[in-house]
Amino acid sequence: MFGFLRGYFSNDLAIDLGTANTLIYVRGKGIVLDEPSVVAIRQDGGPSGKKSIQAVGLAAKQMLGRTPGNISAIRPMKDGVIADFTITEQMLKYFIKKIHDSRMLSPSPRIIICVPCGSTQVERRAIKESALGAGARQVFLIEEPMAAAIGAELPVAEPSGSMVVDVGGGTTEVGVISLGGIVYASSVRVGGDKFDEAVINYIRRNYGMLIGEATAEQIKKQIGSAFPGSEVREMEVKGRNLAEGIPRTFTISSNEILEALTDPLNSIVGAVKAALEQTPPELGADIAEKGMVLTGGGALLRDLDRLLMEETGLPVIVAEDPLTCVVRGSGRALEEMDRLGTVFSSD
Amino acid sequence: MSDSESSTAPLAETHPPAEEEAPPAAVEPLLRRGQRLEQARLQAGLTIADVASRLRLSQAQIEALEQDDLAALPPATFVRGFVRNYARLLKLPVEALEQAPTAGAAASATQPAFTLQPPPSVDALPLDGRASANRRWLGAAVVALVIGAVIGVVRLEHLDGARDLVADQVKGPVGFVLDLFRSKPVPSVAMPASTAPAATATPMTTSVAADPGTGAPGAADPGTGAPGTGAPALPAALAVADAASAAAPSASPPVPAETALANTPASTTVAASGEAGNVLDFSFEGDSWVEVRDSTNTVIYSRTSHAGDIQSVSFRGQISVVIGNARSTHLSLNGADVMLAPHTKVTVARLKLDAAGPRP
Repeated sequence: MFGFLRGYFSNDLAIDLGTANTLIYVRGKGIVLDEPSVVAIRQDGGPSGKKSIQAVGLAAKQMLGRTPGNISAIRPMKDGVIADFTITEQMLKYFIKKIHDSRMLSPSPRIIICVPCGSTQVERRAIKESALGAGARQVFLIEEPMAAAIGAELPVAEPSGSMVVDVGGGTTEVGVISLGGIVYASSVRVGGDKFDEAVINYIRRNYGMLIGEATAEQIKKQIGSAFPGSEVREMEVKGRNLAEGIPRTFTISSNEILEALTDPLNSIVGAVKAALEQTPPELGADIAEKGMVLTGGGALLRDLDRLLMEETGLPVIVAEDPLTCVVRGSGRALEEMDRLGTVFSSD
Repeated sequence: MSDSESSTAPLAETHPPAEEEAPPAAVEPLLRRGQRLEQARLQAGLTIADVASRLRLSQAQIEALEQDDLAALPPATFVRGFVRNYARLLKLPVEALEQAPTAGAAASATQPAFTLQPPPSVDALPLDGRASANRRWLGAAVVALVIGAVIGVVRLEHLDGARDLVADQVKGPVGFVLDLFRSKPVPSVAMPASTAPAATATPMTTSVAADPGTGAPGAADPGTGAPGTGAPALPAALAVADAASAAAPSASPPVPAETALANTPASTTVAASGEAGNVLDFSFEGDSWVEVRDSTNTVIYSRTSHAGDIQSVSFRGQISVVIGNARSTHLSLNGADVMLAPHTKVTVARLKLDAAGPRP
């Protein structure tokens, strides 16, 4: 009933609803929230009992893999899209409320949300509905390669080809952009999660040890590498020995992790090469001169740029602060949304 | 670029990897960014071709980086990325290098690093951009408002007209239509244009010309329009008016309109609408008021007339007539004289009439 009033007292938001992290940009303020996309649900009174939210974000992530029977820590996003609609809605509601603290009226903001360019219409509709269910007044969708390119400060509006590779938690988006539009975009469902999974599988296969997702992520961040370097780093890892069933400690090297990551990295390289094949020659020439830009958390994997450079023979640069590129780009689109119409995608 | 790469590839192989033997570069704070890069590269024993092949850039781009020639390089975002890659190759501290002054710093500061807006020429096109779309909507809204206002005014007038029409229809069935000079043309053909407004302002007919019997001679003589002679012309007042309009151009051109107007008696025709059957004519020799009511007791005619005036009322059904000064008024119904004396008390005559004549 008081929608317009609530809208007046709400801040417009740009949300990078990622598989791994959710970042929120508030118009006029910048990035105000960066939390893992994890929700911990508590179930009271048996399987048919009442469900309630125990924790959201960082607190919930710390519970991942460490929960008792009645609490389950869930990642409601999978492969860049919604895996659990209700939980995603609750998570969004929590985050929106968190940044609209101490307000009398419940917030009703306009929201820009990023979607993977490979997401289906149903998946996009689900994200939109979820944001509307979380209290949004109006929802705009922006494709991740476009948001990443704007966030990386590429000259998207110019008649010159720019290539962006956004390696996120669930997906890797490759986009070629010119004149404010996406010329070519593709999305492969390979990202940080797949890297972690590859590390877990490698260790189980070669060491007979079982490690958790959190440990795998830690290994990837500390000694993970995409290209063989001169320096070999090692790390001590604790896991459960599958044969003995007893926790043990072992040491793993960066070269082994590189070997573990070969498959997902090859998928990314394949996607980039496919994009270059599909790019019109004039734009390809622009890309050959300027190179491609890596964004997303995956760009922080050591020597990923070097790998792409060697594989494609083109210059590759890592964007400044690659983790926040997508949300910064969405935020930039939010700031100028009254003047921009073309960057938003339809359902 | 591929040419430069192929030519530099053998060179790159002759040098060991830079990361392994490059000494920690001593960065002098006063040097420009390009100079620092060049110095570090020379210290590492690398050629421009080596660096170009390692960074997958062209030699010209490496030279431009070392000379801080931003004009020869892609936009600032890419340059910063190239510098980061170059610094990492030479094991230089990236942050310090990014903050180092460049020769083109002033130029890059004035030039916006990045804009979401399309080029100005594109913005000027009416089809692009939300701002112009807003202007379009604004224009459309204004046009819609104007159209709405016009339609409103027209409808209002139409409503007024409809109200009149309803009034007419209420009057119509009971037999009386009051319409001044609407259905019958004014015989002003003979008048000069300058007198036309006067003719419409004071509804008068040149009764002289209106008498078909007298014809042209009567029209030529202003005296025939005197009250005394006006009476015989009354029975066919309406038909006369039509005849006059046809006859006047040939018969009465010699008559100056001014004299005709000045000397002829005023004649008001309360003309009938098409369906009205009976005509009641009044001619006055002195001032008198007349009121005519229809069968529903609605006043359909009420007016004070003066000596010499001729009035005509069309009606249908039964009417009641009140004449204030019956002695100075002659009444005729469909051309036949109606005697007022039997209906007169003192000076006021009250009588009811229908098509056949007075009713008791």
